[in-house]
Amino acid sequence: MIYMVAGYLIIWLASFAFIISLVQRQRQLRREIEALREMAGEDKVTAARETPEYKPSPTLR
Amino acid sequence: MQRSEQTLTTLTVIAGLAVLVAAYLALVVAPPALGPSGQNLGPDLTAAQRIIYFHVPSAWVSMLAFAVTMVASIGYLRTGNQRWDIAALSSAEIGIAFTIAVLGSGSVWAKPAWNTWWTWDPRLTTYTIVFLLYVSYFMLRGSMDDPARRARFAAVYGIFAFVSVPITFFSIRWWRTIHPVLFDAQNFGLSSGMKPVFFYCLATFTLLYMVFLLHRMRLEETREEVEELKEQLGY
Repeated sequence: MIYMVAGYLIIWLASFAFIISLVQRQRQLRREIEALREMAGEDKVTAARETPEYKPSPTLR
Repeated sequence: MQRSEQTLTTLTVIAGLAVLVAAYLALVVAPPALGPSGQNLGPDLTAAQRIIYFHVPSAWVSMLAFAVTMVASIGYLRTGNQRWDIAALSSAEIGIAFTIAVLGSGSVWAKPAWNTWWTWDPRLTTYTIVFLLYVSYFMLRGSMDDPARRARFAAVYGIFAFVSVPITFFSIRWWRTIHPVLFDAQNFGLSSGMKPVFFYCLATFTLLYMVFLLHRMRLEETREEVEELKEQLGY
């Protein structure tokens, strides 16, 4: 019985390890996208402030 | 939610449920295996034989995954389309995961069946070579920074590495081996009660592979988008 349990456990572990690595990488990418969006937003604000005709917008802070 | 995402979620749920049903069928419903002349195999080996319902489908999926890597590699070399490279990479990764499952579960089965965890039998040796070849596939990819060069080299490697897969499949038919031959031209080595469960597990693992592949490809596509975004923003 112990061999059967161990055999199935290995297959489940390999599958779950793959799923967990997928989820972690997906999370990492989402964090990167968020960071890039924030940085892009900041860049837009900086670029807008550097232009002479800059007027603060109520939505762009 | 986009339609493709909804489909993928539905497929994922179906695959998850199908795997649970497969586990129930394999562990509870399938009849116990008997020896070649119908004799009882003893408690340890009788229980361990149930590994076959997940072990063989894992082997099938790993070989299918490497075949898809080979086909996608040819597709990339012919068209230069990045999606083929993504498919090849994604499939190879799934193949590696299932190869680990096959080698691990096979080793556990070997202990009660052969009284050893490991032996350099032709099937085990060739499967280990397959595993190492595809680990090298990722090492090769990791050693190159230029995406186009990386994809081209990996595609050529992915085609040649696949040669090891049919050799592994036929190793138990070509050479003297202690590994069981599940089927050949004349016989199928499972009783009529075991066959439906076995084929259900094969179908389930094939579905699981497709779901994994779609998820893995989506991840790689997101990664490429992030890289493009970084380039556009100059980071």
